[in-house]
Amino acid sequence: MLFDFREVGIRALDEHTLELKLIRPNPSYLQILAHMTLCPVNQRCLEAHSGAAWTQPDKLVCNGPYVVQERRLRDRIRLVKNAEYWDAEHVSCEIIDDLTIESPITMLNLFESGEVDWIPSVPTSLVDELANVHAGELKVAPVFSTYFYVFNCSQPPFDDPRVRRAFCEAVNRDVIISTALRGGQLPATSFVPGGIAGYAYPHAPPEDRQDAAALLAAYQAEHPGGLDPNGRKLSILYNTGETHRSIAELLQTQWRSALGLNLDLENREFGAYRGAIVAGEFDLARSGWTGDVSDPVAFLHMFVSDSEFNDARWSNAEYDSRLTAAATERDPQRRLQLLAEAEAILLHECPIIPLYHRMSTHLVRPEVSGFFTNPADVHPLKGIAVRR
Amino acid sequence: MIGFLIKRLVAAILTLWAVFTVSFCLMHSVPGGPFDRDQQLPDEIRQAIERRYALDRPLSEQYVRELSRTLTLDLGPSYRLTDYSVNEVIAQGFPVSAALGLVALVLAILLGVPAGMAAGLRRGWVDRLVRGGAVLGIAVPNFVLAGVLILVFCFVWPLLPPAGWGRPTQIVLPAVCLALPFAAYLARLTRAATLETWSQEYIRTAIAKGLPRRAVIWKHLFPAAMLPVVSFLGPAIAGILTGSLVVERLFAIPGLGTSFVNAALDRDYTLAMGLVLLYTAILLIANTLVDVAQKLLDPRVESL
Repeated sequence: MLFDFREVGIRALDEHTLELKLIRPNPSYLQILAHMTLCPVNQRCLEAHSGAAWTQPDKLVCNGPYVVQERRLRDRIRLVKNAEYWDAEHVSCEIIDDLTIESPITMLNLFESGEVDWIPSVPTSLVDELANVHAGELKVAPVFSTYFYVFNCSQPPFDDPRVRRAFCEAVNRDVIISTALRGGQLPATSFVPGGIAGYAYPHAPPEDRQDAAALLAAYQAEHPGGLDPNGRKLSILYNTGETHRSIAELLQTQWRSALGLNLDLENREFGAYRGAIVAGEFDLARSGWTGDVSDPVAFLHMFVSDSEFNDARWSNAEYDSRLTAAATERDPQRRLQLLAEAEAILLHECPIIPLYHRMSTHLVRPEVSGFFTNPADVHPLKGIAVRR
Repeated sequence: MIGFLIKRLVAAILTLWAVFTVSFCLMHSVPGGPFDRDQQLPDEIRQAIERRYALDRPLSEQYVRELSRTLTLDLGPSYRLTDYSVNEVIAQGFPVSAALGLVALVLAILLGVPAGMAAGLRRGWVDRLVRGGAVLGIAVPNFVLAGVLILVFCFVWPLLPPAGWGRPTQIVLPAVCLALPFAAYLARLTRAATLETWSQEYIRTAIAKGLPRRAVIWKHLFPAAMLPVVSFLGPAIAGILTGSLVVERLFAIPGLGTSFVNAALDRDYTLAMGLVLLYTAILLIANTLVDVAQKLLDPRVESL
C-alpha cells in the first residue's frame, strides 16, 4: 500500500526532465517506457472535459507527429501533420486516413484496386498466393505472440499433470497450421516466442501418442470415471471466430483419435467466453498472448501463482521462486537462465499447450518508405513517407 | 384520418414500451456483462465502473432510471464505445444506412415492380425470364452477389471502387447488392398480384365495356395489384433503412448494421436498446404509411 507519493521514484526535475529511479535494473525498462500505456496525456485537457469527452478530435491535445482531425465510427480516423511537433520537419505525410475495415477480403480488395497504400493483414489462406503476386510488397514476419490452450488446473481431471501432459502429447501442431491457418505460422514448441538472444528455449512435450495413451491409462486406473467428472463430458471452450473454431475442431479430432476421448465443443462470444474463464467454469479453453516487451517475463509472469492473468489457476512454488529470483538478478545471462528454468517447469507441468506463433502479414505499396517489420508489430507513422 | 393517426400513436407508444421492457429483461438475463475483458478487472475498478453506469443498483431501479432517461430521447452513453453516446452512434450511422437503404429501395421498386407486372401480363418467355431471375435473386446470398459484382466491376472491368463510403460511385455496388433480393421478392409478389387481379370480374367488365388495354392496366389493375406489394414494403423499409451487416462489412460502410450485431455481442445494453427502439419506431412509422397508402389505393379498405 502506498501512503505517500514521494515514495515513488518519479520526479519532474524541470519542465522538460523526468527522473525515474528504479529499485533494481530492469532490462526491459526502455521498452516499457515506449509502450503506449505510458504515452503522456495533457492534464488540463483531461480535467477540462468531463467523462470521455476529452478524446473527441476538437478537444484532444496531441504531442505526437500527427493530430486527430476527424474520427467517424467504423469509417476512419483522419490524422493531419502536427505543426507543433518538435521534429515536424522530418514528418513526411500531410494527411493520413486510417480506415476502419473489418473484413480482410475488403482490405485486400481496396489494396488491389489501388485505393489504399498499406493494409496490416491479409486473409491467411491467401498468404502463399500473395507472396507470388506481390513479391516485395508482402511483408511476412514473426510476431512476439503465442496462441495456446489453457487447462483449468483447479478441478479434475486437469488438476493432474499426467492428464494435461497426455493432452499435450496428443497434439499435432503441423496439421493445425497447415489446415486451419495456412499463413506460414510457426509451430510453438515453447511458450515464449523465438528471437530472444541468449535465451535457451526449453521445449514443450513433443507429439507422442503412445506415451499420451499410457499417461491417460495410468490416470484412469487410479480414478475410474475421472475423465467425465460428474458424468458430464469435458468440453473445449473457445470464442466466436472462424480460426478458433477450426482449431478447436482439429484438436477435438486429434484427442479423439489419440486418446479415445470425445470432448464437447463450446462456442461462446467473447464476453461470455471471458466470463466463463474468469469464473473458472471451463475445462480447457483457447487463449493467446502478445508480449508488450521482448523479454521472456512478458509471457512467464502470466502463470505466477498470484497473477491476475493466470487463467489456468496453476500454482508452482519452484516456478514462482525462479521468477522472483530473476527479478532481482543483476547478471543478464544468469537472469535469462533462471527464466529458461522457469519456462521448463511450466512446459513440463503443462498448464498450457502452446500451439503456434503468429505472423504479421502486411501488404505495403512500393511507394511507401519507412516501413519495417518487427516482432512487436508496431509501425510509427512518423517515419512513413509516400512517393507519388 | 386524424383519429386513426392518434390511435396509431397511442399503440406505438405502448408497443415501444413493451419492446423496451422485453429487451431490458432479455439483456439482463444473458450471461456476460459489458465490462468483460481479457484482463480480470480488480474488484474495486469493476465496482467503480458499475457504479458509474448504475449497474450496481437493483434491476427494478435500473429499469425505472433507463426508462425515464429514454423518455427524454436521451439513449445514454454506449457501454463499449466509451467516448460515444448512443445518440451519437445513431447520428453517425443512421444517415449512412438510410441513404444506402433508400437508394436500394428505389432501385428494387424500379426493377421489381415493372418486371413483375410484365411477367403477369405477358406470360410466355418474359414470365419465364422474370421467374427465373427472381428465384436466382432470392436464392443467391448477398455476399456471393457482392463477390461477383466486385470481381466484375472492380477488377475485370475497373469502373467502380470495391469499398468505402463518401463518393457517389461507392454507393452503386452495395445498393445493387441490397436491392436485388428485394427486387426479386417484389417481382414475384407483383406477378402473383397482377395475375390474380387480371382474373377479377371488374377487370373483365372494364375490358368488356371497351376500355383500352392501357387504361384497364393503369387505372384498374395497377392500384389493386400494388396492395400486397405495399404491405410487404412496410417491414422491408424498416429492415433496409437500418442497415445490413453483411453488405456493410463487405463494402466497409459505416452504417448501423454492424452496430446492431456488435451491441448484442458486446453486451452494450444501452446501444442495443437504442437500436432496437429505433428499429421499432421506423417499423411502426412504415406500417402506418402502408395503411394510409392502402386506403388511397383501394376504396374497399375501411375508412381510416
